Amino acid sequence: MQAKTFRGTFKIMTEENPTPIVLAIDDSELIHHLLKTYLQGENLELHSATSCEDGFKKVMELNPDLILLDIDMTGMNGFELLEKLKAGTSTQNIPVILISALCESADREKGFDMGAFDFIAKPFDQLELKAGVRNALRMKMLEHKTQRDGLTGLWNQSYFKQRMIQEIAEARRHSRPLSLVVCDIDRFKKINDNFHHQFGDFVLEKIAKILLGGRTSDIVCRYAGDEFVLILPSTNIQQGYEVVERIRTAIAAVAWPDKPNLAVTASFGICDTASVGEEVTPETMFQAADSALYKAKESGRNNVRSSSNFFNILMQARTFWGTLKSWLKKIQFQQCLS
Amino acid sequence: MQGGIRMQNENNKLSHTNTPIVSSYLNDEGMESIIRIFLDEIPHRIADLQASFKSSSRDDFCKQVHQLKGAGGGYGFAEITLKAAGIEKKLRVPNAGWKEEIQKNMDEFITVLQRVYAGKNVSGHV
Repeated sequence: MQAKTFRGTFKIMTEENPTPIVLAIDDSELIHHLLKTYLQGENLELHSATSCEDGFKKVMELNPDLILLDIDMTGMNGFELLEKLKAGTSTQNIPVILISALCESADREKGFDMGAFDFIAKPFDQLELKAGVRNALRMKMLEHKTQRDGLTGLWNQSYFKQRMIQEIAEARRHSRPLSLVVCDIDRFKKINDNFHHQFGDFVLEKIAKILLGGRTSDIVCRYAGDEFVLILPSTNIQQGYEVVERIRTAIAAVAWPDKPNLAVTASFGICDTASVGEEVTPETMFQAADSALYKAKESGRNNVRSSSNFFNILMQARTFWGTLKSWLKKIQFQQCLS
Repeated sequence: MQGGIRMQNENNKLSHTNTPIVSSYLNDEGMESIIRIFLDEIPHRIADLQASFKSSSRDDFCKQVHQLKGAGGGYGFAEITLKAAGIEKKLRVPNAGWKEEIQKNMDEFITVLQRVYAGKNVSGHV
């Protein structure tokens, strides 16, 4: 089966994607040779870095499932890198096994206090290393399973809540915008009633795929039933609107197999950190996006509304202008024919 | 390939003789190629250690010793790890006369490395 990569910050490691990525960061080539030999035959993809600086770059590139980290290195040391990883929202959940010849109890204690998953002393043996690596990867896989929606493979509500806290903190720290979108499939109950739940599930899966087809940085979650949420980091309401409009159009354009007359549409509510007010929390952002979704439903469904009334007026004017332009073109075309 | 670092075995006794030291992974096919690389590099590592020791480059010297301490046992040479650990322990105490302090340990360490290199031609390593 082909490995399936899920979007969002974390790549899921499941039965469908069975090759976890392990990154070893150590300034000794001797250790890299050993790790490669000891772990060959294990079901994993091993990458290496010989400094913490290079290691951090590779973490951002590869988004590994596990990091094996030496402590005593020149330049940035392993503890400093561990601190940096645990402070980053996209890296804090990557398990780190410290592999070090610093064998003092204080070093171990410090590592565990800083969030290391395990500590393996050098020189290590193959069985100890394998057991440590397998254990960390197993824990990571279990963690993923509890945070995923079984039907669509999207992140679930529990993950969404946890991730929103992190993203709001990150947006605040870097003074950058953050948008939240709530999406609800229009008249989904009717789809289920008319075509049975099996087809309803098929619709949910298809829409999940469309939602995932957006930008790699966006985090897509199934909130409940036919309701989805999208976290759009570094995105203001205008930029978010463009993203959501593309998704809305793509959903409406789906041709459903054996159901030529069926049109499935979705409505969207969007808000951003600037439009929510002073108290930006996961709850206030969700409430704002959800209220906007209600506006979208009240306005006839299959559209996008935001928490900002001013922005809604602008968007309505833009939609009106678009419709007017297409009518004018049609009229001109008809005049040419006559 | 078997797990477990054997700190001592029949072929790898802690001794002060000049007999060659062979890896405790001597007959381990999976380890053969990397042990060969490790052994090939030993003359360079001895030269690097001696150079940093001679030029009093304490940081470089510490790093080289630390790396051999971490890796030696993993390649089946527990004596390398033990000797390197002894030097590292002494280096951890700030001491302007560190070279005199560890001269004896350094000599022993180099001897161990030379004995390990001498074990290169023992059947199974090449």
